[in-house]
Amino acid sequence: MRLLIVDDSSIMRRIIEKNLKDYDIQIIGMAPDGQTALQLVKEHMPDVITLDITMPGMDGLACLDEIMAVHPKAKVMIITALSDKLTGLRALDKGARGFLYKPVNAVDLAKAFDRLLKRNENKQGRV
Amino acid sequence: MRILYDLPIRIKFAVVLVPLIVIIICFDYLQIKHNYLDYSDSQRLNQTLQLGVEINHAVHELQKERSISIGFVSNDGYSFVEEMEHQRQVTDSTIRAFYKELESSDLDGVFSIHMDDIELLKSQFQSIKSIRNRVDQLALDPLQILEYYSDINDVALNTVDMLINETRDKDIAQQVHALIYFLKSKERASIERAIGTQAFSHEVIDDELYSSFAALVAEQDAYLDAFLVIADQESFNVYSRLMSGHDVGEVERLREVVHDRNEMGEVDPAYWYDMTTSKINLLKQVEDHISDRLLSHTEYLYVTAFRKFWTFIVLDIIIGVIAVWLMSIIVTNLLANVKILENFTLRISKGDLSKKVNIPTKDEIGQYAKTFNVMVDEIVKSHNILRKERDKAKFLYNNIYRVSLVVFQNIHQGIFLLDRNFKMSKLYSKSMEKIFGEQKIAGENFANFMRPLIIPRDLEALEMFMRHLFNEDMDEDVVNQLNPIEQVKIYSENDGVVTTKYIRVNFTRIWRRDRITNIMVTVSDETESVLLQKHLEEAEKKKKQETEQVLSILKIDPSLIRGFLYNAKRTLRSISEKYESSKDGDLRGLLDFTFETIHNLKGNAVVIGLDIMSQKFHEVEDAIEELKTKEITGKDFLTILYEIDDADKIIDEMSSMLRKVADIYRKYPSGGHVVSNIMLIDTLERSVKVIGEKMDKQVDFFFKNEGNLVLPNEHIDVFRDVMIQLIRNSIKHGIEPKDQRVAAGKLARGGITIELDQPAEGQLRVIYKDDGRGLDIEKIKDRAIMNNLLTEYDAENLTDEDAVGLIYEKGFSTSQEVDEIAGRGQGMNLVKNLIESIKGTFKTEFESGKYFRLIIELPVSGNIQDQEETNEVANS
Amino acid sequence: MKTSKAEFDATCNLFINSVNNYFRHLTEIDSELNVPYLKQSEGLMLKDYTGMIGISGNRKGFVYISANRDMYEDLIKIFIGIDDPSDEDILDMAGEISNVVAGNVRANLGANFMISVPVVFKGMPSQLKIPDDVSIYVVPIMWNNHEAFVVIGLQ
Repeated sequence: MRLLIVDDSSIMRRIIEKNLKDYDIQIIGMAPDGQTALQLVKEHMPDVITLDITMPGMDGLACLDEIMAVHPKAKVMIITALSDKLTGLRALDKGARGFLYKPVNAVDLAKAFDRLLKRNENKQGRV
Repeated sequence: MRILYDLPIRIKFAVVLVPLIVIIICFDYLQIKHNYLDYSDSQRLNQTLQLGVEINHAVHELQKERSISIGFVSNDGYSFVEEMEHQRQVTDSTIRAFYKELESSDLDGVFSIHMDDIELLKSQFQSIKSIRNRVDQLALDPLQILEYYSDINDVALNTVDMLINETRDKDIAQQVHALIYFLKSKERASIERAIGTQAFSHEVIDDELYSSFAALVAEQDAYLDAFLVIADQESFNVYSRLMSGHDVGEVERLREVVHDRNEMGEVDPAYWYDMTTSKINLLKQVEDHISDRLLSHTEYLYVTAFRKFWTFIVLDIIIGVIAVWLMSIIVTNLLANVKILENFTLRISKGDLSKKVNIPTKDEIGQYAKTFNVMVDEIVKSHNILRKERDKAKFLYNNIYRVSLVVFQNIHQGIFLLDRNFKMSKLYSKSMEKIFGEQKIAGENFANFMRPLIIPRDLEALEMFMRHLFNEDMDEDVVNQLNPIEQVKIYSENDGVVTTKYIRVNFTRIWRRDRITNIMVTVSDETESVLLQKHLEEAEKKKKQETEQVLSILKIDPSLIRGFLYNAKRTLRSISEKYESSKDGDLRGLLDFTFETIHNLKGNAVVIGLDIMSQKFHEVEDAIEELKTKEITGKDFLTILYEIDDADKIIDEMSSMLRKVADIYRKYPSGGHVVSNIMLIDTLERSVKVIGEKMDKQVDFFFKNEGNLVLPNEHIDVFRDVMIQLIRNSIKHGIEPKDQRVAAGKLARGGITIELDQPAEGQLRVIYKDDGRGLDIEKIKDRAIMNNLLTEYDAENLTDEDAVGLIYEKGFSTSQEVDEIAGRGQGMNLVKNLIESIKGTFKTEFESGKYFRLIIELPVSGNIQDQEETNEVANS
Repeated sequence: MKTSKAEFDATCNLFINSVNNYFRHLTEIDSELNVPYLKQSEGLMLKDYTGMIGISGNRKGFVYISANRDMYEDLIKIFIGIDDPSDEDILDMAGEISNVVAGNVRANLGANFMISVPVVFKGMPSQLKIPDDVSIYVVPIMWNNHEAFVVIGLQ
């Protein structure tokens, strides 16, 4: 499983990186903003992407649109401090598969990834 | 045809049997009639024969009388007088016999047909008298006599012919005809006799008489031939036997004489008469014989027919009765069985399966009934199974459905289902109406239902949210994190009063196979708990703010704070005044001004370390930042004003707090120590709680200060640092995890106790103790060796006391990484240094597995005794 | 967002929108909000005619709707067509605004907010009973070149 982390806060990126060590996940890159993220998506076509909403330049939702346009199979998990539910729902509308509120701890992160990956299995099993 | 098919079985039987019976009866009737006719025929024939025989007798005698009368007249009344008299008596007796026969027999049948003939014959017989008179008077010539008598005989013979000439039996008819021919021949013979008698009397025969004589003989022979042709063998034999002998030959010879015509005188007319009479008597014998035979034959036939007739009738009746009896039994049985089956099927069709059909016969219907019973058994079995199922369903309905209804009626939560069109289910819990103050729930679109209750943004989110809920590809937990009405404020109307409510709405998917068919929605009214929570939160916040205010005030020079607060209040007011006076509409300018002013105030607060104020001003800045990005209106300034007002209120509170603290300072010149002590203990207690939580250990903090001792202000910082270090060590290393503690027979919650006492004047003793596992000498040695504080050799010779001392050595602490709890690798070495920095001494005590204790002694100057009992706060 | 602030926002908006709506609905002239400010009770200046709505329940306080005579005259002219209204007419008009606003607000607030029947007075009363712990927000509203105040005082 190849993962791209998109977050403007380096601390956040480090937390994600650290807490996902136990998973069979290869972090293929970390992007501080939307443009970089898009570049990396086009280059590596990662399986999973964690995406912040509030970022400088292109914001998360716009970035999500772009990502889904070039790589619709990507499983995108929104990780945001924005507690606005409408924004979260819009992200789901645009194709996000997971959602997490900041602050994020290890347990939250593990649960969210379990869900994201298990859902994948279920989907295959069900079809 | 169809009409025939559709007839009931009864009628079908009738259709088949009735024509059959009619045909049989008709046939029977014909047969009976035939037999009866045979019988009546033969009976009548017999009677007519008898009558005929009597007539024949009369004819025979009349023939004789005719001949005698002719003889009498021809001789002019001289001869044949006596014979004629005698003959007339015989004739009369035979006629009387005829009359007698006519009366005696039951001859209705005969009369009905032959009345006219018999009446004619009777009148002829009566005419005999007048003929006789005229004969007596000799008024008639022989030919006239012949004619008269022959007429009577003709009529008589004709009558006989009529009487007997009607039978259906061919043989008898033939023999009757034979007899009639015979009789005719005999009549001719008799006339021949009369003519012959006359001729011989006259001894001459004229041509006329001769020709009639010859005609008579010819006719006689012709009739005789006809008789012989059709007569049966026996009659033929009788005739052949009787008609022979002398007399018959003499008649032949005398005929020849007549034919010759020349020798007429040589023959006595009496001789002719006698011979012919003898011959006629023979003929009469033949006739009687035939008549008798016919009579006996008809008698036989009559008896046979009679017997046949009755036998047939009796047999017919017996067979008919038996046939009808059998038919009725079979048909009745068949119909009865069919009727039973019919009734049975009718009963089954009405649902009564309790009885079985009972048809004992072994025919197809019986078999059918047996099969039917088997079928009914099967039906009853299936029926029972169905009934069981139905009872089960009923049970389920009664017990589960009703229970759920009862639950729905009484549960305090609102519960309903959403379908994929977001329509609310017809069944919903009664509480829904109470919570929403709305009766129209069933079938409503949930978004429409919520539209008047929540803000448009939430509504938009709700619609989006429900769509995702029904999306099978989306994880339920992920979607539920974004529930926009998880906790939402609604305005509902109850009895005309508008109420604000806080409700919690939860959504649960209901799957059927791979599809989400419904969403179960639960709504709970949390108004009371939310209000309480808010109340508590606000109270808590206020308390916290107050504490922080106190803390900040205590840390900072009061005059600095006072100055800052005064300045800040004025500045805030200046902002409002600026707003009031602004008339040029430069809103952005005002916003910038406000931001700068607040930013400055924040800077000042930071400088003097008044965190609470700097935080507040930061919030105001945030509110302004938010406005900066968009088009602003006058109304937007309300938010800023609100924040400014809030900040102003905090300033007021701090001012009043400051006054209160100043009062304390004024009241107790050294009171500063007391306040600091209170805060110190508060800090330590909080440290125990926080560190315990982080290490996932539950630890209670105890503070004992029976002497109401007060730490001097100058020692407080050191004391706090030492204590915090000890607390970290105890929780990290000393106090065991819960299960270990329970296993060792200790209380599950760990305990840390700090005790102050005063062993002597000018001395303060602090006793720190935890109830953890104590120290492990061997482990300490190992670690010291590992950290190069000690060689292995030294370690073996080291006393326990010295070994304990190792933990205070620099570099003993093993924590590699910097972490909040364990410190920075300084550990107990830091404790030692700190205590020594304020000229204190310390002593370590422990019992392995039981406790760790550190006794610190500090030199103090002045009064450390608090004057009043004000530090109860520290006792927790 | 803090609930107390949200509640404050919501309450203020209800009153201000209601006043705005009143002007727009009746006169088809939009009103505009000027920058609001805070006032102490002693410095509070009211205009010629004022309608006062009392608020009780969870939060206590008041809302004043205050304007000068010429604005009421204009309103009456546009709305009713009287050129030279009497003092009584003016008071009626002031009362009418307050009544409508109070009614609108009442329909939108829950039972925790109770709104009194508005009282109309002329000029500045000698003493306004305003509690000390109430912050007074003055919201100036410009309509047809007249200034009106919506004064909100909430605990």
